[in-house]
Amino acid sequence: MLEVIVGAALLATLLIVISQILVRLHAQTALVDRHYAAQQSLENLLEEFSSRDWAAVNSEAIDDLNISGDTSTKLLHARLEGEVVELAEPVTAKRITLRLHWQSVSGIEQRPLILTTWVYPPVESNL
Amino acid sequence: MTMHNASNSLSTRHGTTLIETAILISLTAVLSGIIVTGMAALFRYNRSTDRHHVHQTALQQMTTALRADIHEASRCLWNAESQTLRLELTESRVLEYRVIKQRWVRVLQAEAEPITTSFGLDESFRCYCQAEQSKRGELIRMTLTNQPLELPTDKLYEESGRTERTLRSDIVAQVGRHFSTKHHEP
Repeated sequence: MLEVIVGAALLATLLIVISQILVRLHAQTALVDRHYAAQQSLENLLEEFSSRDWAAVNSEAIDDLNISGDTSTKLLHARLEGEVVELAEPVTAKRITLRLHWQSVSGIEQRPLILTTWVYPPVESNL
Repeated sequence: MTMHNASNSLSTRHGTTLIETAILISLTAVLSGIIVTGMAALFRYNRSTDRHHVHQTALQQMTTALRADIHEASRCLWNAESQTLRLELTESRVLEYRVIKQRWVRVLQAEAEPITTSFGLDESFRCYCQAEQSKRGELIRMTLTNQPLELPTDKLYEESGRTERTLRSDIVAQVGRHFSTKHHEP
């Protein structure tokens, strides 16, 4: 009888360990899903923003950018920050940097995702 | 005297009673049930997660390639009926994204034989595409999904235990972006 009880206790411990591993695994999968959603959303926002008119690409205009509804439901407390820096050397350009902050399900602030691109004035204005 | 010895040997007898054996059998049966059910659930979860990851990776690869190709293109044509995206590149090269043999493929038609790349995404993935004119050229908005567009993507987390999970990828890409940027590179 004692052997059976010991065996059952060991088995129960093993099942608890396995279920904990599964829970962690699922949490990691969800984290990867969220990171991918964040990256895609930021890429799309950057693409959309950089396709604007040269004059309309400025730091103030970044405040008008909205994270898509789907992404904001996946990412807790998602907020977008960014800046536009005008460059004169080596060529005239604007450097756009967007940062996406969000929190994990447990409320921990995640490392922000940062993407940068450069836009150049239309060819006509360079002539 | 003999009677007394017999009574003693009966009270110190070793072994298992019928009740103990019955309890043991019941416990073993319950434990076996738990183990079998647990393992079946584990395998089911593993299979579903594996398939989800394979599809997700394939979707990521395809969207990355699509974005890069749209940037390289000079013209973009979408045929919703045949689910074909045709991208015209420089030097008369043409790229097509379409379903061949129930798989999404990228076909590069150059001078020699076409070069085909398969993404491991089956035809259950539908593509929705629309173009709009931006200040810097044509802007393409594409959605690749294995579910109807109306289905909210937050179902992804609610349905995590199910075999079929919603996968969706939205891309915004500017046609010829690479070409126009190259013009200004120092």
